[in-house]
Amino acid sequence: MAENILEVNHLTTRFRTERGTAVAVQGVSFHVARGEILGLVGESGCGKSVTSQSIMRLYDEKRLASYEGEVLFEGRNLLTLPEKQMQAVRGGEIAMVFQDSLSSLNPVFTCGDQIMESMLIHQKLPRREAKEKAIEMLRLVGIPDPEKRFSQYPHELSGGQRQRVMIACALSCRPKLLIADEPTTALDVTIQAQIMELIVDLNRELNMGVILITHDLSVVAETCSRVAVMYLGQIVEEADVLSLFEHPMHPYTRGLLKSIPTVEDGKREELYIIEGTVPLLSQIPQGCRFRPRCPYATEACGREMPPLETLPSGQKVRCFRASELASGR
Amino acid sequence: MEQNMILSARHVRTWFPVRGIAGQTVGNVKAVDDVSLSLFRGETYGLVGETGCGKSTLGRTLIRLLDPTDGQILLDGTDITKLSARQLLPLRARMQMVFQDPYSSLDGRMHVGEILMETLAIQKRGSRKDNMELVLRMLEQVGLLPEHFYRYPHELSGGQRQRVGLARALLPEPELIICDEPVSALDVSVRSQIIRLLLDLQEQRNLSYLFISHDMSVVRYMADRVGVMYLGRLVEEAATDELFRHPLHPYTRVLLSAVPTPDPRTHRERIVLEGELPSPLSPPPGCPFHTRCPRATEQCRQAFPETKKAADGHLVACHLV
Repeated sequence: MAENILEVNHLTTRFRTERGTAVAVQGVSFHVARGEILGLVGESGCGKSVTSQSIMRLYDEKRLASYEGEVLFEGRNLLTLPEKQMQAVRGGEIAMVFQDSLSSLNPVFTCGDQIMESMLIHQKLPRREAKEKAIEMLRLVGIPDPEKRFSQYPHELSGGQRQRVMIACALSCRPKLLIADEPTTALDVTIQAQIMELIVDLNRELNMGVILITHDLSVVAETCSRVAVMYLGQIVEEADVLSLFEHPMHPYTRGLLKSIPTVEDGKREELYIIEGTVPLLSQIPQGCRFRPRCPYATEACGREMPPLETLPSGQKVRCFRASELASGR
Repeated sequence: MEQNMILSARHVRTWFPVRGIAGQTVGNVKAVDDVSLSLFRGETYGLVGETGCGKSTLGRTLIRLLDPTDGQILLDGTDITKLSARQLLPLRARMQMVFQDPYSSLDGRMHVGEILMETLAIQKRGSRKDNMELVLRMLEQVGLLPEHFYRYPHELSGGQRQRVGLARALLPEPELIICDEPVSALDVSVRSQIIRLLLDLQEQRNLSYLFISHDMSVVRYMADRVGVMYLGRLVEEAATDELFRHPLHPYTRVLLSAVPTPDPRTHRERIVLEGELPSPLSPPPGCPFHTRCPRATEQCRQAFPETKKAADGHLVACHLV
């Protein structure tokens, strides 16, 4: 088994708001091995992006957020690292790709400038060398005519091209861990396929760990080796990709899988509906957080929060009735 | 057959002129170019294609939110291509639209009730009291509560906003609804709710949908027939099952091969597209797809492929089929 590049232990992220403290991420633990792609899935507001941005410590700790727990990156706890050292980690050893390339790239700098930036800062390369490497990066991510693109501005590129530029920025310093936050959500399926293929190829070539944050289970099925499902700030299930798709244990995971519209022999399969909506962070239910929407909830589910239990198969699930439901299937 | 047709478009073109410095036309963006299609009563027609292929422009042109440059559009046999805004008004009730982004398609300064009452006021229906009752009944039908009447759009979730959008489209009792990516901005669980609602409403009211989407799994689920657009042209059309099982056009094959499947065991052969989408300002000569087509021949580079009829009502515009 490969060593873990990242270990997150009991991470809790709290935000101070006008109406009191909101706990956006609550006791989240997972790990990423070197060269592994971990999928982090869930709907809007489940805390997947907050988790990833907490790993990078991107929130203003003086005024906005407070973290608790441990984020061990190669054994060092990032949460207690002095800001100066943290800056060396950000963009250097851990890099991030965001969903919206138009707002994540700076419109007044050329693509080349933005790819070179982290190399100039982290690796202290001379400009000429950085430029050569940046063009090489552009070629690596499959952008035709990289010399010309180098001096173009983000708005001159298509959405797919911009996403590639952002990946080039992220990979320019050869990070050990890449966090890709919905990297293909705004893109067409053909471009999505190309970008995902690129991420998988680079993951293999550079032996880089990847956290892929997405709400699209089909993308997860095709690219990830392990998956963690989040609901309302907690991990509710974690398993290798085959087990998760073939034996989902948590009612929420099952619901998500059954919500994918499928057609068998020209007939529509009944589309499953998870009743209700994700509650607000200020209205977190007592006990199991999924209880109000769960078709299997009992009274016991409302009294106590179920722990994230590890089953003999290695699958982890946060549900009192998981094994009972699994055997009754 | 003809009788059951609610909408029919013949050789529709929507071109946007590009102006030079002196205001002269220097070119045309051919957003929709020579598209013919028909929509039957109670049917869902799925329109797919990549960003910029003209599917939204076509949807808007078909109900005259945009004016076609050329061609003919018939609504239930009536030619609406050249009607003035005033002449169109009574027909507008019969054709409605649901937009992708429920955030920007609802006026943030009006509460839900006002938004919905406005629709009825424009159509000059009944008294205020009657209209209010209609609106309340409609809220219930789309799965909202009476208390939502006085809520503002920002107080609603994405799914609830899309329900309001749907209620607004349904109030004039249309026969046809253009759904432009109605579930693309929604979460998985909310998406199922809206899809189910759309299907239920269609059954109750015998609605026809033109369902525009880039999500193939949703289109496969919703549509009876599917049309594939590329660079302003309709390149293939067939019954949904037929299209997904036996795609004929090379572009359709590429498009379908890119769709991920929710099964970790399948490893499909993916056809990777070369190059970028050409500009609709100067589409390539011959077949518009030849610059990226893995099977393009000399003929494709020179001659435009006419739409042919293949087996089982399958229409395709490709020299190689």
